Order: sequence, then structure tokens, then C-alpha cells
Amino acid sequence: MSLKQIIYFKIRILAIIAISAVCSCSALDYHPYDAHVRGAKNLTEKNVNLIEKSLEGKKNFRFAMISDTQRWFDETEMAIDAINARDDIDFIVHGGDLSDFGITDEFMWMRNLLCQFKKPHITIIGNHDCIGTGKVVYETIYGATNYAFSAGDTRFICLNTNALEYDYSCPIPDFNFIGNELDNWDPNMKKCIVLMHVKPFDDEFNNNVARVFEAYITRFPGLQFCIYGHNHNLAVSEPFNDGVKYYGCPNIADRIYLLFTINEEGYTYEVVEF
Amino acid sequence: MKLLNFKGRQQKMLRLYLLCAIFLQFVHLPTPATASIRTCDTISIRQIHKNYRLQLRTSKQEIKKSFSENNPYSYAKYRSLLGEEREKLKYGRDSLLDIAINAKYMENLTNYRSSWSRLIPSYSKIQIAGGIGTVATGPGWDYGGKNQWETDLLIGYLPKYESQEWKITLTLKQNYIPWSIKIGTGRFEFTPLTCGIYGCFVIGGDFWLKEPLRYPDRSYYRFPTKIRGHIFLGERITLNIKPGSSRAHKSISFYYEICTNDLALMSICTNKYLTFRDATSLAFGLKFQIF
Repeated sequence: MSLKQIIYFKIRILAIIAISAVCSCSALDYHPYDAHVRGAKNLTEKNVNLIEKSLEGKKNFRFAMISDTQRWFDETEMAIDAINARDDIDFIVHGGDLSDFGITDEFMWMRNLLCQFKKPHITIIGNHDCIGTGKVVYETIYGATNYAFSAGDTRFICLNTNALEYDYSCPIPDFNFIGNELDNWDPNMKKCIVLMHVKPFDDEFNNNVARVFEAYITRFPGLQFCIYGHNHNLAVSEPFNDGVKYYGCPNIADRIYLLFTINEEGYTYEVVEF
Repeated sequence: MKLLNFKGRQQKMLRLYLLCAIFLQFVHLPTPATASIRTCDTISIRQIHKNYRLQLRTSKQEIKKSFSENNPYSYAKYRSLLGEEREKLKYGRDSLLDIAINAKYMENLTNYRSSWSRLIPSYSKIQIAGGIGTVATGPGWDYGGKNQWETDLLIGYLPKYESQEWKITLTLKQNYIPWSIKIGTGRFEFTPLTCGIYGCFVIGGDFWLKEPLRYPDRSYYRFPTKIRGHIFLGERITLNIKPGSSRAHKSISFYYEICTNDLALMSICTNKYLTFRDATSLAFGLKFQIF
């Protein structure tokens, strides 16, 4: 190797080092589906802790629900402003479909936007959140796709019902999870609300077990109602004609959020336009 | 091993590639058999045959003449002398034909080599980020009057990050470089604008070109997750290496690009909340010009 060759070799090595140093900067995108999550993680656990702490022992509380905010950032921002403007809401429920294409950036944009809520918010996984590497990104940013938490004397059961997006290696809906919740039911819990993205008898739902699902969830003590998103329209129905109401939250583009007030007598339901 | 597991459309592509390869074998491969007498220059072949016939005629006359002057005519002797002469001339003709065929074969071979030599990459690139993996590298070809067009074929590596497996990306990138400015003595060149498009294909992971059969009509989401289109704008600076120095490269360029993909572009176009900066990202790279 001549001296010149050695110098050129060194220049090349230095250039590669410089580039890899720049590489650590967050403005670099390795792939739309790279699942490279930066910023806040495990938000479900954090927000659930906040909700459980603030509502401990309370029997009256109020929560708002928005859903299907994929690629409607402007409308979501309006909803956040509208909900932040009032202080009688204890927490916010997002009905799924945070992203439209499942790309990692979308989840981070939506996470940063939803973090502008003054009150804690919880989310459930939607079918659009399962595309590509979306499932793992959702699990990294928010946490488990099936979870439950207590708000006052009400137990919230949040379920992943996007069966079409999974194969049989991952049971959707997860009856083991529901069974465990039933077995370990805290007797202090008087009421129960079930959250899901896709309601039974939809294309996405595993309709083979729709009735089994209903049989399972009606075993919950004091089941009030179920809420879901996905269909992009406002709906109240009783799919099994057994007295369990399913409230469908419209897509955020309709500029509507649902307001549920839980009190000792039961609950009230309001549709609020913004 | 999932990388080698070709299915459906991939298998079709593989078959197409095999057919192309077989077709190319027949079209391009010159052998002495393909450079037969028919494929040679017909005029020179005709000339060789004509010369042979002329020579044969003159030698016939010479033999007949020699009989009439010196010794009495014998048909048997005439036949044997003519036979010897003919053999000699035939040998000469055949060796000339061999030379012509060989020359044609060499010509074919040269043409074949030069046509394939257009596929020799004129440079290689290494790129960091830009939506085609953490690091992507590969050969490229430049063409056009001022070499203003560049086509790269890059293979990239994408670590698994939060997902279950690492992935490979294949990228076909088309660059357009309208002009360059020489700085000082011409040792450095600055390119104020480069632009282009590229498509990135990801191998591994749970992605689709056409949706899996479980979706109703296979058109539930109506977009392929496996292939992404990107556009970019960039700049580059080139260091020209002195001719005669022992380097393998003619020049080395450093470039940066601001790029965005189709889905991110779609998101910023339909929202005021997202800014241009949200949807764009940076990419860096080096280009090593070979010739």
C-alpha cells in the first residue's frame, strides 16, 4: 500500500464514521414499516394507573369516546381542543384505528397528538393498526392488546376483536383472557363495560364464536353496555337481543364524540358535536 | 429460511426470470456452429469459390498442354494428375474458408462481449436511511449525453427493532442530475440539484403485494404493503481523483437527499396538522465512480 492509498483509505473510513454519527439523528427514516419506535412507550399502563388512582372509591364519573382517527389529524386536534375545554370528563377512550396504513410514523404522530389530552386516555387496537408491523408498534407504544382496568366501581374490559388480521396462533377474541378476568373478579366491582374495535357479526369479527363471545361477556357482573368503533357511523344496537346494548362510535370525521356518565343509578349516554 | 420460501407471485417472477435466462442463451451465445458458412460475408465466400474454380480451370489446361508437347496422351495419367491438383486446390480453398469462418466467429464474440459490457456497472453506491433500510448498497449505471441519468440497484439491511425479524430491501432507484458546477481547478464538483424516484421492495416480515385470501375480495385495504414508492430531492459534492493516481475510482461523491414515501405524502396532503418536516426524512450516501 502506498502512502496515497493509505490516506484515501483513511478518508473513506472517516466518512463512514461521520455518516454513522449523523445516522443516530432522529430525522432518518429507515423504512416506513421499520418498527423503530422513538419517544414515549407503554402508555396504556401509565394512563390506566392515572385513571385508577384518580377514580379510586368514586361511583360517579364521566368519560368521552372518540374512534377511528386514522389520517384525520385535523379533526382529532379539534376533538382534543373540545374535550380539553371542559373539565367534567375524567378520561378519554379511543376506539381503535390510530393509524391508516400501520406505518410506524403514523403511530408516533397520533401518539404525540393524543398526548395533548389533559386527562388520561386509553386506546384499543383497530384493524388498521394491524397492517404490516403495526401490531408490534402498537404493543410497544401502548402495551397489551387485551387488558382490563378499574375506574371507581366499574371494570373496563378492553378486547382485541380484529380476528381477520390474525391467524389461529393468536386467539382473537381471547377467551382465556376473558375467563381469567371472570375467575379473578374483584367483588368490589359492581359494573362492567366492554370495549372493542369490531363488534360481533362484522366482517372482521370471528363470527364463528360470536355467540360464545356473548355468552362469556354476559357472565360479567353488572354488564352495562359495549362500545365499539370501526363502522364509521353512530349506532345503537342490540345484536343478540339479550338486553346488552352496543354503542357504535362514529369516525372522528363526523366531528362527534360520545359522552358516557356512570352514576349510582346506572349510566347516561350523550352524543356531543364539536 | 423464510427468505427462500418463494410463494405465488414470487414463484411466477422466478419462472419468468428462468425463461428469460434460457431465451438469452439462444439469442446471444456465439459458437463456431452459429458462425457457419451461411453467416459469413457472402461476397468473400463467393470469391474463394470463384478463385478455386478459376485455378482448377487453368491447371486443367496446363496439364493438357504438358501432354501434347512432351509425352503421348494417357487418360489414366491425366486423371491422376488432375486428381492430385484438385486435392491441393481444395485444401487451399478449405483453409481459406476456415479463416473466414473463424474471423466471423471472432467478430460475433466481440459483438457479444461488447453488448454485455454495457451491463458493467459504472459506479457503486452506499446509502444510509431514506426508507430503504439502515444501510443499502449496490451497483449503478449512468447514461445519457452528459451522464445525467443514473439507475441504481440497491440491496439494503433493515434491523428488526421492535418487530420479530430483520428484513432485506431491494430498491430500484432512478436519479436525474440536471447540471454540475466545477469548483476551482476542477478537483471538486458541486451538484446543486438531484432528484428522482425509487421503489423499495421488502423481503421478510408479514407484508403483501396482493392481500391474503382471508380478506373479502382481497381488496379490503387496497394498497400493497410490500412495495413503497419514494421521491427525493438532494445535492451532492464530488471529488475528482487525479488520473494516473493508483486509485481504483475515478471520483467519489457524497450526497444527501430529502425524501418522502407515498403513504406519508398522502397523510400530509390531507392534513394541516402534519408539517412537511413530519413526513420527510434525510438520507446520506457515497458514490464511487469506477469509469
